[in-house]
Amino acid sequence: MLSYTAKRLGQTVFVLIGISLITFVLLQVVPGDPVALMLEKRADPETIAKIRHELGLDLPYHIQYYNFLKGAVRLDFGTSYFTKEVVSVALIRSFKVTVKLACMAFVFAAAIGIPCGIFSAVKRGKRIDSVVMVLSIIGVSAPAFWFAIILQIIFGLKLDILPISGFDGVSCYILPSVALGARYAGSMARITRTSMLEVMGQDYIRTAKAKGASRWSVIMKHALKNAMIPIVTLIGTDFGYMLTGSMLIEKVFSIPGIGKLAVDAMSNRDLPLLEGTVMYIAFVFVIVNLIVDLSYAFLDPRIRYGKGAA
Amino acid sequence: MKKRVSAVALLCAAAMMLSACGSKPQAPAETTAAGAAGTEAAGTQTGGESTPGAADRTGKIVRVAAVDPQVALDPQQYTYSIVMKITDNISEALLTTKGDGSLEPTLLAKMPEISEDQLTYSFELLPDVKFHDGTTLTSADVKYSYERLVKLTKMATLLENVEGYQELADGTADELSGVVIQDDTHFTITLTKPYAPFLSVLSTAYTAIYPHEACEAAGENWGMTTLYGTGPFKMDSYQTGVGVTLTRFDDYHGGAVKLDGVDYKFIEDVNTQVLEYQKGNVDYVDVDPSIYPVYSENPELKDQMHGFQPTGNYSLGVNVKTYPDAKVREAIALSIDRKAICDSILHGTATVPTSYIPAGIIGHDETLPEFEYNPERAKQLLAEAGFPDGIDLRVTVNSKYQGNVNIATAFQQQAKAAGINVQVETVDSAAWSDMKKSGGIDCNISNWYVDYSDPESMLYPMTKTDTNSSFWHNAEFDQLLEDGIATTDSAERQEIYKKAEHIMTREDWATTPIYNETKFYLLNPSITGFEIDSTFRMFWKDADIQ
Amino acid sequence: MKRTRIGFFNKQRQFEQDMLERGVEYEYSSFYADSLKQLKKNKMAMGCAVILLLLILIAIFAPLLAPYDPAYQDYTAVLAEPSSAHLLGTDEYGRDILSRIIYGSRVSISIGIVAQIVASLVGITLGSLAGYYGGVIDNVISRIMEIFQAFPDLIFAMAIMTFMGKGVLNLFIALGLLTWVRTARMIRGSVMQLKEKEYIEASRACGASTFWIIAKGLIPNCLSTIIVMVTLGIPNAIMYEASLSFLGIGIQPPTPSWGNMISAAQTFISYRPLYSIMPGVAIMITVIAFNIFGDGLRDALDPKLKT
Repeated sequence: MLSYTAKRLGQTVFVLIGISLITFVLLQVVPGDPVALMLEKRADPETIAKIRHELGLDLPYHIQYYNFLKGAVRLDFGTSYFTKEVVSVALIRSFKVTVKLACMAFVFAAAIGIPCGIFSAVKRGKRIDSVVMVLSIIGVSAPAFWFAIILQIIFGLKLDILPISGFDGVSCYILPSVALGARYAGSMARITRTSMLEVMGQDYIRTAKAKGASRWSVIMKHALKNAMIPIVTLIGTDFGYMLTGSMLIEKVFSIPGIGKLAVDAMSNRDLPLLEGTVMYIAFVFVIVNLIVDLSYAFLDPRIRYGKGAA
Repeated sequence: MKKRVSAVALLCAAAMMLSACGSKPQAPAETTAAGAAGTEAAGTQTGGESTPGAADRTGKIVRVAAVDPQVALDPQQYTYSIVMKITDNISEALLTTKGDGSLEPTLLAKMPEISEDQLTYSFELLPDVKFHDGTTLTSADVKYSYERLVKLTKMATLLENVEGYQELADGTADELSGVVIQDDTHFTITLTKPYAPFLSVLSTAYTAIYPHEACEAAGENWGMTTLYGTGPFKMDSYQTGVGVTLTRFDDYHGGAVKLDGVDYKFIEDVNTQVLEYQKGNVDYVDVDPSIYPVYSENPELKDQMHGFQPTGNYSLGVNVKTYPDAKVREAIALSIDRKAICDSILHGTATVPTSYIPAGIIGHDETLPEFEYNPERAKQLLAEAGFPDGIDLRVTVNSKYQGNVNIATAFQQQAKAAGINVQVETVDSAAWSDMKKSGGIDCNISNWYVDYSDPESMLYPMTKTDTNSSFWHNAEFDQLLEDGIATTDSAERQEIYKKAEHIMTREDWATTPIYNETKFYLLNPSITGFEIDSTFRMFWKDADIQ
Repeated sequence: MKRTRIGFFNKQRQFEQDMLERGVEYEYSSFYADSLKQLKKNKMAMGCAVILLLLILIAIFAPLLAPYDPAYQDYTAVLAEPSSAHLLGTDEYGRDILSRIIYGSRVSISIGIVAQIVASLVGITLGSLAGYYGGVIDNVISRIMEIFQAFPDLIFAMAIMTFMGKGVLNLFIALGLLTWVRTARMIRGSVMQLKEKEYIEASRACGASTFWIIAKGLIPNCLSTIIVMVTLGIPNAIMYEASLSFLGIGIQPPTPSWGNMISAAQTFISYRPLYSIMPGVAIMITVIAFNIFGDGLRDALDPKLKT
């Protein structure tokens, strides 16, 4: 177990280095010069050269990258070219916003998705099952940004009951988290239903039923518990995804989260900020997957990682 | 085993949520001076959770929807118009340009005196003007601010005709020797050659005067955490992604200010900005002309929409390196249907220009015919130039400006009739700046507004730098521009700039104007005393909430 | 068999067990005939198949169906309300919205399909190489896959589109690069399992080339997986296109795509609601149809392969 974890963490470091290198190379090859953008109106070659020197952009590429790595090891990604804000400070600031949105969207998705999935599985083949499944597939299939705009119009403008932008206070997060959570709710309902159905066909459920246990107690106690593995796997990764910020939802609702930070950094070719953001997103992704894989082993004692694993 | 892990996982999740919910965005550093305002609550202030950072502000607060500039609020460093829209209310330049182009003293006791040879300007500052940090404005602050402008390089060339500019810019001197301080309120500025628009330059936001000690002490934080000026409002807080809050400066030299403050709320999406206006959460929002009918046909909103004509234009620039034959460039200029763009795409909010230099400044000529759409003539010109089968034209537009993309899309269809096959290429701002610099743009649509009400500000990008991406140079034109700034007589200057413009737009066809726009904004009807004129600057100094 | 790492979804393992139990013993003809029979029984999936067929026909015959040229700008009818002349009204250039939605199906569907072909080509190649050779090659390819997965997708797409220039062809490539990892993972798992089979051993003993073994011996046995992956990958690619166009980095004007229509219509949503709603509905119908049909296909071809 430990050796497996250590090995995975080792691979994570490799992945993070790879990602930082790709980001660095991408920004070198992608057309666009942050300095020209900063100077905008009166950019003359001498001024550009001067600013490039100040930012260390005139150094050879390998030295620039080495300098970046040296800082990154200490979680110091430098300062943004444009705002002059320290990148880690910007990340923390945006993370605070994103984590709120992610939590609310996650709670919304789980609170809707899992019960609907259970209900749908229990009422398999009935009309309500089809309705839930159709709704879930609509949830998965509607473009989130489009859904977001429609929500803004209906609840924000026509009914005037919820704020349509901003990020201060819980009510501001309702529409974005519904827009963001809808597709996750859909996929959670689907996975819950599938895995419940699988479990409910097993012998021990039939045994429990035969022993006279009440229907719902069988469902909640026996079936759900055993159906949890794939559900936990999915919602774990879903939460991970939400934590990396949603560029589209954040754009529509003007929420300054991680997604917006990443898009801004990319369109400004703000290398330090982009490196920091991309590394953060990749890190969350890799770690969440690792946690999910490990918890998977805990939840299902039949699975063991490490030497001699089959 | 199983249970323990799920319990741990639950705890973790709970902890995350708690920590997340506990970390509210910071409250603004201080609330509005309650003593001054406490009595009346503005009718427009809906309060509540939807006004980030302003929930506990009371009084007459105007809420302005804005796009997050993401940079220091320092026009000497960043030239985005949003930066100036904010800082114009915080810091002031020596002079102000009025809507009609005339100048009036702001921080000066009277208009400066100009020597016979047009080289030396003598200034007298108003006595006892206070900065927001409590210090008094002196000549030293003026000199410091101008030197800072030059050292920061971005807009330094504004002062290139001041004596000692080159030495300071090159780093061989550490002062701007042309600015000579007599005493705390008197100083002179000496130029190296006569420069007619000089006083207009001193009215721009780039030449705002900062308190030198505080500015020096703040260093890189100037415009981020600290920003002092002599203006009617002082900056309370500036939070990236949230907004800027300004409060009234009680010691303002220009008389009592009626508003208690101005909140700039950063709302990224322009559509969301307008939705917030309709909900009553902001009092001011910019409206793009492409959505003009949405509001002009809305009975509630149409009276809240106001327009102004900024001095500038939208134009089509052709790279002379790619299209060296002036006939081809003329054909391109003839193949854009300006009238259709003004009437249909822009819903009648724009007008077809007669000259590149817009109305309201020297050099504008309205006796000329409007630029025409004549695909037949364009075809003929192309044939004469050796392209009887037409040409391909790649039009590059900055995706940040949807208006430019719209024009390019319309142009694409219009140019077909002239045998010009237009390809629209949209790129982001960073790629755009880079391509512009490296000459990778064959044809572009861009807009330009004057920094000061003078034809020099309209035409200088054509000659001094290659920043307009057309790479066009013409010795006669360059000479006329030199003559233009060295001449002070308005009638003479009119002739000079008319001639220069003719060379550019009707002989060489390097750049052709497309339209002069009207910009619109929605303003809460309870706000009075606010107006934007052709200088395109937003002053909340005289505004009030009824 | 020693396995060094396990994907975080259990589907791969399930699939491997599944293949052990039943995989290659099946005769292709009867296997696919059985699957088809089963698919036909699934009414929802068949209904969606009909919708998909219709959508594809609409895309192919767009010039015949669309009442107007989708790029034609009628300056006398800018932002016209729905009428008999323009059933869904016109956009900000006076272009017929219905015609643009019809033509938009070409972009969305072809992008979905071609992007998936690109993804499959990359995915099958790398996945089978990793699975077949194992060891260092597998390690390297697996790390590359992880890097691609962990890289923020839209940022990657933005960078690729800015680097290569915008255009339909480049969008195909960018979306293919965004989505190949899923296919590669599946193929890698299957190939790993299959390569231990006797018949592969036999081919190897007979001196068959590696290419022959992979191309003829292994890939055909993964075909059902590939079909399912492609079908379920298409809606994914369609959504990506919409998202990228919404961010302004997708299809360039004047080509209509549902994504760039939603983006343009956002401004007019309270003024001409149909303009923004209809392209979204078109995306939804297409994506739903592909999803349900893909689910049905998966149930028929690979009953245990579930996500």
